[in-house]
Amino acid sequence: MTEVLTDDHSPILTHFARKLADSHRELAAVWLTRLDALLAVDASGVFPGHQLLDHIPDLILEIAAYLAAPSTLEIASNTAVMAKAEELGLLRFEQQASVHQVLREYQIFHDVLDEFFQVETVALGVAANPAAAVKALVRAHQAIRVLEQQTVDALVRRYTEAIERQNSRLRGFSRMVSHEIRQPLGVLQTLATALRVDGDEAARARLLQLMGRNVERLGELSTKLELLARLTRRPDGPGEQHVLMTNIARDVAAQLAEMADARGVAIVVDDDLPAITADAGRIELVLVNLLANAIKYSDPDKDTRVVRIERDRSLPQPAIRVHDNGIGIPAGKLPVIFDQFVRVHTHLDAELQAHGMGLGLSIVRECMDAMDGTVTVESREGIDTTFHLRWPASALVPPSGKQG
Amino acid sequence: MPAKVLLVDDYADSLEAWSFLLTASGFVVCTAGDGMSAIALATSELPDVVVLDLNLPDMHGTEIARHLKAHSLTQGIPLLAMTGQSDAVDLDRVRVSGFESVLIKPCDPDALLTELRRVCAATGQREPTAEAERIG
Repeated sequence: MTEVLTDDHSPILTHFARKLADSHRELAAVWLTRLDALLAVDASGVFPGHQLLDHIPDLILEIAAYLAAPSTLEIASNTAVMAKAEELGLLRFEQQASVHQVLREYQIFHDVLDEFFQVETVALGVAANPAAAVKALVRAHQAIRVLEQQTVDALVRRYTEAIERQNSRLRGFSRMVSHEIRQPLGVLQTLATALRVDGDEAARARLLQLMGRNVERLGELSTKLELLARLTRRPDGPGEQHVLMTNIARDVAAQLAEMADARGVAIVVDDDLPAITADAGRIELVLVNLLANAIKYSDPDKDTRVVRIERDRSLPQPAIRVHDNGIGIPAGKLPVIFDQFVRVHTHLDAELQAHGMGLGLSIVRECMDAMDGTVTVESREGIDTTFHLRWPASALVPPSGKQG
Repeated sequence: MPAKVLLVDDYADSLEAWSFLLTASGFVVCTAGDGMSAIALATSELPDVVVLDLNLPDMHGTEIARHLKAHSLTQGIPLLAMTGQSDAVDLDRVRVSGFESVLIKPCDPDALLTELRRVCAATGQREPTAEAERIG
């Protein structure tokens, strides 16, 4: 198709703009196909996903409109398209894309438009005004660069914010750790002085017992911190296997039997807990912490004290509940109980003979996060507590694939 | 009559260790594990001095200080703070909340005993018994 062209660039720009608008879906498809091919080679990459199918054609349409607009107009003044480019950055952040990946994706966008302009310039024929065609091409690339900048800025901003959040969490964590170390250390220091006092044998024995317990607590703290550090690392390889959760739950119940018997708590494990593909060590850690808590905070005033691990069949994905009829958790504390060093019932420590450092539930959450699962809690103070553990549907082992 | 100390800490072992030491040092000791019981005990027992851990499960030590300073029965009782947090900003906040002094955990037992005796002497309170001399 040949059009009547003049020295004025605008008819050519309008022509390219119309062609670009006409082909925006097709060009978006070409771009996505190339992204797909690129990521097929780079197996660690995450395909940008279907949300991009909504964004890309829109961006191309906006670039088309920009080509036809007066040359004094900047694409940055189009707040709608800038918002789209920013959304793209946020979306790619959610998908954990690197800046390098995003730049490559935009480079492919540049390439696709280059090819489009080549084809369209040839189609215009010899009558085409080469200067106008170049101007159209330059204007299109400028527009993409502005959008690219916006996307990358949004992506980098999100990563920076995430790092700042992490830093602030680490600072808070260090303060908490130091506080938790000072507690038993302070007791040991006081006891060292107290042992210099003439006291009877029974008093000395009690002081030594307190000393032992606080030394043990410091040891336990360092073990848990080490464990937490290991858990927060991204798993480098699969420690994953087919796991029969009923077997793990029974092992855990056996490990804690002595503690449960001492407090008259019955542990009931359902036979039909799901079989999933996951790290068995993590599941064990989750159940040990939840069961130990349930036993520790069982209600001495109730005639029967029960902890039950049961399958939650109301959901399509693998899910279990750990339910107990213990003392419950005050509603005000529920939002923070998975935070590190939060302990709810310190005032009942002596009465319930319960001691700990408030790391158990944060370990549970870290473990569930690492398995792409979730943990939530419901509780009625004085009545009961239920922890809901859920894994992604993809973790479910089909019945034929069950192994030990 | 020995001086009476109210110890407030949510860490039960800490309360037990300090109780033993302070009793052996000639003080009469009563203890509370949270802010509400601390306020109730301070009002009923009228101790000569209160040693407060600042991070309690139900309220911050500065809040307890405000309560005690706001009531005629308890406003004259000297308060000593004990804290595991050594952040300068936090400590400044504590110093202006009505505490005589702030001790950082782990706190040297001799430093606390010296401070308790100083506060008791300064406020003309009863001195601890000679029992304290047994600590060498």
